[in-house]
Amino acid sequence: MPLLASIWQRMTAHRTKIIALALILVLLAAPPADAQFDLIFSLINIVSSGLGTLNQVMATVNNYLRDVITPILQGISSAISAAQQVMAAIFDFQRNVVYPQAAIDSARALIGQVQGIYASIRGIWNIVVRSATLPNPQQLEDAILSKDPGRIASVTARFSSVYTPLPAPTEAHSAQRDLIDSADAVAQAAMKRSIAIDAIADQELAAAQQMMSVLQTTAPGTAEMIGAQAGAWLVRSNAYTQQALAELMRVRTIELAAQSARVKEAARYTRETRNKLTELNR
Amino acid sequence: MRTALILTLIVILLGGAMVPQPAYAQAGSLSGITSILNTVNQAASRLLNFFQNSLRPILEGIQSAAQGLQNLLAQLRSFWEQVVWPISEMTRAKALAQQLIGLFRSPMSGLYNVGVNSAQLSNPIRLEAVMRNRQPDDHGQLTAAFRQTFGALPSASEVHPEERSLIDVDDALAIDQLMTLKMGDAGADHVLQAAESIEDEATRLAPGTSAMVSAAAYVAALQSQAHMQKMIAGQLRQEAARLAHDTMAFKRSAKFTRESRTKMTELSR
Repeated sequence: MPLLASIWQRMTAHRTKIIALALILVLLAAPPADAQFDLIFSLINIVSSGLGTLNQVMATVNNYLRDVITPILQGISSAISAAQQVMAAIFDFQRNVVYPQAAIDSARALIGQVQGIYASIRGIWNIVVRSATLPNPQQLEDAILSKDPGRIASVTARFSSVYTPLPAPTEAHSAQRDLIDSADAVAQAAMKRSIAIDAIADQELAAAQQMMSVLQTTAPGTAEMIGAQAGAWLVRSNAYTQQALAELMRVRTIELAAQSARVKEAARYTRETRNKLTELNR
Repeated sequence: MRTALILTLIVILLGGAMVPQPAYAQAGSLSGITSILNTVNQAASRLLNFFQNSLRPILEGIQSAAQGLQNLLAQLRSFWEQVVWPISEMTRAKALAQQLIGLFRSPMSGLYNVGVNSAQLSNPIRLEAVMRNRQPDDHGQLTAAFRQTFGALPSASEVHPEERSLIDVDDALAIDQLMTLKMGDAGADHVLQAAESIEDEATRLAPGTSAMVSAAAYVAALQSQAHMQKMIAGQLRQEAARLAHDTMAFKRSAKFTRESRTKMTELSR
């Protein structure tokens, strides 16, 4: 007790100094550590809150991808997979049923076979036949069987050398001369036309040979294109055939007309002879 | 001493009051973190919006298109397999080809090869045989048989030169036309062979190769047409020669008439 009383007495005596010392200590002391912990806690709270929100958003994104986008993608995958299967089936059908390689090979072999057959036929038609024995008939025959359009112009002279020329006006009646000229003209035209038709037929055969050669190596899908060309040529060929038949019919028509003209000529001759005999009797 | 102490205390108190608080600068870093987190959050929200508003419609469109494609392909397959190229119809077409061959080939061949030879005497029989033998390489035999049947060209002393020339050209064109017909017959045999090959192929055809065979048939038809034109050309020559022959006879008749009339006029004088 006496010690405490002594301390208290001393403190009371120096109370002003003690207060001043206390104030200085308070002012100079470091800030309390409590303020540092508040900052860290508030930082953690902010980051935690932000990450929490971010987590929620990302969870929503994840759920959306899983629940909405994934089924759509699966649907797309499924549809494309099914389409792929259908395409494969279609391809198999095309390859095995519509365009089987064996059938393609067989068709090509057939084309080669037909080509060979027609080569034989061409050989047959290329046999040269000449049968006349006298010079003038030989020249006419050679011209009209030549298949050479360049020799058409020579037919007129060759024809006249065999079938004799048109009689002079002093040698035949004008009606007779008309008949002779008309009939000879048609006969010559027919012979000239026969040369042109032979040449046309040879051109057609050459075109057909080319088409057959291409056809033998063509793809099944392009065969119709060659078929269309052959069809067009067939139509063209029909036109040439029609022209030839027309020429033939013209010859026969003039032949009929000439027969009729000869009957008329006989009637005229009979009448004139009767008149002359009547004059002789007078 | 006491006064100095009080002044010192006052200065210290004022100084302490005027010193800035050290913790205020820490608050700036907190707002930066918040800003970053907000930006990330906004980006995530925009991503979600993109998925919802842009990606989803696109994917739904693709899905719809893929399903449409699947349906279209299925319909296409069905159309090809059941409407355009049904297996049953392919089988039926091949069976038809087989049936046509079975039904018609033999009877048609019989009709094609029916014998029409009708001559009774030896020379006409020989001519008939050679002109129908479908051999295009016996021109000499044909010419000999023709002359044995229709007579040889008269000698120059036996007939007028014009008539002799006319006879020669008539015979020549007749023989030439018979040769043309022999070529036509031989060619027809080959054409039939080609046609039968095409028919046989029809029993093995696939739909995709029918165009090849059709094209071959078209080309073959074109070639046959060309050969028919050659026959028509031969016929044209023959008709022309016949007309020219008749006209020449008429020329000779006119000449004879004129000469006769002249002679009669002379006689009447």
